Amino acid sequence: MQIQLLEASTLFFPKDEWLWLREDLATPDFFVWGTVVDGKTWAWTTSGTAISNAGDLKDKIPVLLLDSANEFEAFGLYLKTVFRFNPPNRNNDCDWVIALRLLNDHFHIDITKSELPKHWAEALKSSGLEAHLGVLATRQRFQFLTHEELKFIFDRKWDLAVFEILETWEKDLRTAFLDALKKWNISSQNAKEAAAQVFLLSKKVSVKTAIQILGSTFASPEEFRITLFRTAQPEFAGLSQKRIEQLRELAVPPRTVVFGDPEFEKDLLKITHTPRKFYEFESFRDWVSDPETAARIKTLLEIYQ
Amino acid sequence: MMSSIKPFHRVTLANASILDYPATHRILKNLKKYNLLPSDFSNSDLEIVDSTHESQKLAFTAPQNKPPLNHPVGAGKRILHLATQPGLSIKQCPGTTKMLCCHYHIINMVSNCPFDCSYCYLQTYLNQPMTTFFVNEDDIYKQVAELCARPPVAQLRVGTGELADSLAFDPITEFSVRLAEVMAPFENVRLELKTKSHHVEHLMSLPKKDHVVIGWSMNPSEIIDREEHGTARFHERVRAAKMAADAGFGVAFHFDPMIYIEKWETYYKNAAEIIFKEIPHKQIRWVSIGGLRYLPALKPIALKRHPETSLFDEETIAGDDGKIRYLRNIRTEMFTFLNKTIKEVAPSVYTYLCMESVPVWEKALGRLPDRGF
Repeated sequence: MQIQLLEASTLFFPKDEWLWLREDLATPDFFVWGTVVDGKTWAWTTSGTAISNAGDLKDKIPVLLLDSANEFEAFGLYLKTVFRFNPPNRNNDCDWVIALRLLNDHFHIDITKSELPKHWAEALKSSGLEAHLGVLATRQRFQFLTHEELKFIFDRKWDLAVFEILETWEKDLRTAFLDALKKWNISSQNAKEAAAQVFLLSKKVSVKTAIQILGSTFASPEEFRITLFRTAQPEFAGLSQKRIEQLRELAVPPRTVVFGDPEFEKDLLKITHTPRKFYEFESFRDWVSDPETAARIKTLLEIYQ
Repeated sequence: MMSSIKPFHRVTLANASILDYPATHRILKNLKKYNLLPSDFSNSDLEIVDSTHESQKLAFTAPQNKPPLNHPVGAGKRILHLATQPGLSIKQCPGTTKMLCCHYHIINMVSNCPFDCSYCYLQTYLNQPMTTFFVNEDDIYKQVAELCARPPVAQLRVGTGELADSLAFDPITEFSVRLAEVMAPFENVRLELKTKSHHVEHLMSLPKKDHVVIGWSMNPSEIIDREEHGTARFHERVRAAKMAADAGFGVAFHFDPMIYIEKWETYYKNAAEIIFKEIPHKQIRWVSIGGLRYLPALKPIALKRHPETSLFDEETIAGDDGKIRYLRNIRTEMFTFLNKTIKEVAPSVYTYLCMESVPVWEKALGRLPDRGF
């Protein structure tokens, strides 16, 4: 390993070859990683990106040159160094999906017939994972995600499982769903729930209708979710409303969440909430001491079961 | 007899000592008899594998297969692994949290199943997906005998149908025959063999039969044809149940999972009427009723493996135990209807609900469970 000052314009950033999900950096880090592949210096920044204006930079930039490698080994070095510099997070899972995709489509290596490739065991450990095939298998099953879907999950830092149900959907429905999601800043849990509703809608009514609803105009992400929910599960939506009314009448202590109902979530009620502050404890104590509470709990359990 | 079961692609051993067990040789002989070995198989083709590594490999490669083999549990159906089971082999059924339980004991001598029901929970349960037979049967029978010999506090119900169909492979393993023999001397014990197969002929030679209850998982033909791939058809199950009941075995029926589809009332009514017309009621030990329930993780797996399934077309809710179920009013409606239908044609038959809550029991059956099986 050695540091060299190299013209930025001479560095090659293999973002197309390695299907990078990360956006380019405008300015270089303090140094970049590099390795010589077939006489050419392949490089990446510590955050795992290219430098967008590398060709225009006048200054030389420090390159921490790793051992020379073939392209496959260089890719292993890329994984290892990027994960070591960036703490384990959900984006690592997207990176592993890409890595496995390259393994099959670009490098044509059957990982089941030999040991883990050079540098991969260390890369897995840097991702906070055990270094074995089973760990990779749980990322391998997300190969069905398109690059666009993967990029979206990567940018939002979501769990891959949010899109798991999309595997069996028609292409047009997947596209419409992704386009709709892009419009809203919603949580991964809400997106997962929305996906479940879209699926139900497409099965109950038709794919065409589901696409039509996804393409409609909504005032807010809540309206988007509620429309999907109430169209796909009208009976459940009705029941949920009843529950909300019943629960409100019970005046339960703060923070009871009724699954899937944003109206109610706003009330920030949760029956199983552990009191963390003194006033929460006092409020809870008062509620428990109330002679009517037992009757209310009975009703509440009736609602929940 | 075993025509619906597909041959294994490979047969593997956990270690070389597996060949020392008599069960191994019996199983290999029966596999050959029923043409379930790979073509041109000889004992030199037996591979010794590390089951953990093999499972990981299967998990990695299975998604590349065509449905329904595109999941490790699907692909694992075609690999037979012979192993030993250390430790305790007879356990209390875990039931499910916060729901009423029927206090069942389970023995797992086989893991994974040749059948392929789209709703099967094994798809989300098995982390070692190869079809596995545990060949250290004497250790297991010893544990069973010790449990049965304890002073009786209530009737002990023991079953083998948790991680596998009890009878699907039984003509190969003959485990049930031997278990029935081990349990025969104990008056308070019932061995329940839960199945979707029609493999009962090999049990007919058992000298004592009334302590064995053969339980058929039942659904109407319309659902069996659509969702229960590779299993015995409705009329085959009824015929096998009649044969078993006539021979003196206790029989049971499990309408579980009931599936809510269009015309479900007609389908379940017809199915119940046929069953309770054909089978002598005095031989029916119990009938259970349960609704479709599954872990959330099952849905994407089942859809990927069986895209034609209609399991997920209805509204559902997550229950207290985290499993997805039909809405309570739908469940109550289904259970009440089926229970009423059964009681109309077979009033003496004992019915119970599986993995349901107190309010559903009260509304559907008008009572809570007891231990009077």
